[in-house]
Amino acid sequence: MASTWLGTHYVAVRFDDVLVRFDRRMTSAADRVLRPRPRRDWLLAPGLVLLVAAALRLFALDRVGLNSDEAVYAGQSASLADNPHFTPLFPIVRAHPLTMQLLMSPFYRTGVPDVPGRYVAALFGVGTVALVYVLGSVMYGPRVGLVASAVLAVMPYHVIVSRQIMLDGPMAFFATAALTCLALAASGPARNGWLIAAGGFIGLAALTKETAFTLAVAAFVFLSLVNFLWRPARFPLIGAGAALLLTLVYPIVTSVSGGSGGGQSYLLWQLTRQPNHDFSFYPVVVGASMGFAVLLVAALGVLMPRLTGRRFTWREMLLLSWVLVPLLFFVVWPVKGFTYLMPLAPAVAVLAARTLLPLPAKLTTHRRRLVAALIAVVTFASLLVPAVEGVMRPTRSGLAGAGGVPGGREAGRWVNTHVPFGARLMTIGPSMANILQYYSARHCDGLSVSPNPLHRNPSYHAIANADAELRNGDYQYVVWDVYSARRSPHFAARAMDLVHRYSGRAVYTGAQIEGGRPVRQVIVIYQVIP
Amino acid sequence: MNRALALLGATMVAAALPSVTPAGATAPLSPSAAIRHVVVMTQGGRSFDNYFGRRPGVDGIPATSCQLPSSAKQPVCIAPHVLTPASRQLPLLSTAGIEAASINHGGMNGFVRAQASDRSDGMAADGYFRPGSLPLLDDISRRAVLFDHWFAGVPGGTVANRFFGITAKPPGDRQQVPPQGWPVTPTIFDRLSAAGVSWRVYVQNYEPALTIDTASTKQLIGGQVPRVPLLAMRRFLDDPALSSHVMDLDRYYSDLAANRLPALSWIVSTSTTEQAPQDPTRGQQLSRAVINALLMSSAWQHAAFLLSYDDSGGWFDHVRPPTVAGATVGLRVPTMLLSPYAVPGSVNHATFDAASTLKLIEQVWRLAPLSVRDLVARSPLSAFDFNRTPQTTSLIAVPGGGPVPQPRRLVLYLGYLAAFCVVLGLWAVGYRSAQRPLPQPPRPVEPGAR
Repeated sequence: MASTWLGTHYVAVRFDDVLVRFDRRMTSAADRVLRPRPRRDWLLAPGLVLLVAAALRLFALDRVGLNSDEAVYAGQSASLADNPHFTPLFPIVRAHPLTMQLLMSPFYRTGVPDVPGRYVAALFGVGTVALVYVLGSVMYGPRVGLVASAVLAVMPYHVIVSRQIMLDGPMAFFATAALTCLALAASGPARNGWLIAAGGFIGLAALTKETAFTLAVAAFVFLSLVNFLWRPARFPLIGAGAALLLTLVYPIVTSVSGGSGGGQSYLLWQLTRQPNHDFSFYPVVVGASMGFAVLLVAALGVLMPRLTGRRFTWREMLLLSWVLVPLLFFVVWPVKGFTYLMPLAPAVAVLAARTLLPLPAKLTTHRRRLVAALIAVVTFASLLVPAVEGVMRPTRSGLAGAGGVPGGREAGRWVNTHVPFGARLMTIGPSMANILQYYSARHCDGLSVSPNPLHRNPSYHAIANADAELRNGDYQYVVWDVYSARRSPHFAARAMDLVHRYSGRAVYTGAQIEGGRPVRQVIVIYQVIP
Repeated sequence: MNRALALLGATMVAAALPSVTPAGATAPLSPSAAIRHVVVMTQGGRSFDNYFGRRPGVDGIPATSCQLPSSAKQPVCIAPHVLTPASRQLPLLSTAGIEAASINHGGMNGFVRAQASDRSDGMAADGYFRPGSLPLLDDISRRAVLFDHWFAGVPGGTVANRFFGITAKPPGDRQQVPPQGWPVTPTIFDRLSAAGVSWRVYVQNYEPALTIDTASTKQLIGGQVPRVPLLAMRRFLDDPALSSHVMDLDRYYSDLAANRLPALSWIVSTSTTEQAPQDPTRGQQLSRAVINALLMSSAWQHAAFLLSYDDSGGWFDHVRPPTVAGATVGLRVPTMLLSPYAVPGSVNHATFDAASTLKLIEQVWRLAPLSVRDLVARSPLSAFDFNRTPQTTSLIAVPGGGPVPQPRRLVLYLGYLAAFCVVLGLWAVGYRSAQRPLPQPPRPVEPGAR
């Protein structure tokens, strides 16, 4: 009994020694990293963070073909560049403004390129990481800036969205620039001129994706809470005017260019759309992608100021306004999208960094320091692992905007080389229709697109009577794919019913390859007989 | 007689072949090597002027076209009027007698008068479609050689012309199939069978039980029995080896998909024939489906598709039918040839008639002619160019599915460039204002500010 107790006590003491020694090493390492350094060293650390950010965003971008949204944006860019492969099928003016599409368009002038737009998006993502470093430095000093940029660099949500041709990534870049300008304006006397620049960047963000208007509201809420930025009032007013003016550029230029007819129905459609996710979508799905550990750390820092020793100032007001106003709007708004919260991610990263950094300094004992270091390690590890997973297996999610669609690119290329021009393909849903249309230059329509104009994207063509149109020979192929079948089992069954009714013959089968072997069918193209 | 025709035909084939193989550095393909599949589809009841009378580049409706009135209430000169697919169309009569009255001794001005009856003033016969109003037909013709002097085989309607179309022998002015069936007459299918060349007759909505033995009087006038004369020939009905060549149109599509298309495919529509008062677009949808299926198949690379109309259906046409081998042919009918070796969008002005289809088949597979009519008929081989690389062509599209309209790109680029410049300027303003401290009272210290 005694020996057992002694043995246990001995093990406990030895383990304590190990912890203490480990903690000393960690503390000294942390001190080495975090102690004030000359300017040259502080350029090195952000450089390393940017390197990691770039690696995660640029590695193997070609692993999977474009998803539906990417195909639409890339198709718009190619039509802007007057690429003859795309102009007959992809209207330039659709649902969203055209900043990203215009920036990508020089890379889509010829052929059927898919990846260049992803590089543009990834560069915006890396740029946002760099801006977060500036933002954190302006608000809390370069150490917080460094940690915040490191958090964003490995945040799976930001990594995954930045690797796709989405409008939210560039919009988040301009939004972060606006946030930085707001922070600059509030950071000292006689800096109110930055409010004008902030208004400009908010306008540019709205010119990239219209959902950025929520950030204008967030900025207004912040300015209302910290009244010192209203003296003199001309700066916030000019900034607001600039934001409004720039937001109006899109409707004005589309109207002048003769393209207003293409986008006029979208607002009505957006206002009358059916909810696509419930209220738990953002907390659960997007929260998991941002990292629950990051969110927890950020929330703890705000809710428990004694933990960090930081008080509630204009800085927290700015960050919380930036996060909560859009979040509240999108939670209430019936239409939810995975990428919609992208501009919030930089603010969340800064909030997390402001909590993480003071912990080692505030905690005195070795064990508490160790706990703080472990929290930091766990936080980063909890981000890095899913981020790498998202890079290596981009088709795993199955959520719109959260990755690629298996087999779409390969099937589209097959159609391009094996199906005569003028052929039309009937897919289960519009997502695969967009992808196949992009790669094949053949007209594709989704079976699930509603004939009711209030219930469908105005860009999509509804198949009013699939049976009759197959009988008339209006469509020559029916496409089944696993991605659409998972999202819409009813129309997947309907598509297969039509395949059987019209003597469908499988002319192409795409399989998911794992370990060099096909593991399951992901897409099948059937030729049907009228 | 047949032996003599065979010998003469072989001589004619040998004489004709060099004329379609222009001299050149590269050896052109022979018709037999280039064309391995001939698909013939015959619709019904449309004249050339009715469909293509206003198309540029063809022998179309003259500006002075004028029909004689059928009553004193009508104007002295009845000018052609425009039809649309939505126009209410009346049934027209199409017999040899009415056609002769319409031709009016070569005046080509008796169509309205010939169609006039107690229930119609005959004006309907003088209608035509504008280019663009039949987009499917326009699309087909853009991919084809259009013949603007292709005449129906014999004056009269469907019954007589369908029989002529496979036998090259005029049956007389018949309005219905003889109740006892057609007399024993050699057909092009006999020639093909004897030569070991595969053939099939694909019939829309085919009813195997509906033959001359079971057809009602009405079914001897319209439907599958008049349109497929084999179903009114006793020797075909009694011989399963021959009758098994007739099958439903669905089989055409599956044969194409399975690469089993026979050498000759004879497509017969029964319900969407385009004959007035039918909406012609329905029949053209069938033509599109048949052509598209061929274009999608591997058979297309060695195919010739001939789309024609058996008779003019009582519609006005301004060209007087010629006499061929001592017999008067019918009025002009629209005819198009699609092939990888045919020049798309071209117009052929030479004179052809329904016997030319038989001539084409006979030349490709070196068969003996059926009568003097196909012996002397002009061969459509002259419309091919076997020197050219086989052309692929796009499918015939659904009407209205044209390119999406696009805005002026320069305006978009300039607008966004201006926006970027504005933002850059605003940033510069902010930066400069931050560099220049403004004289203002000290900012009050916020409670809790660090």
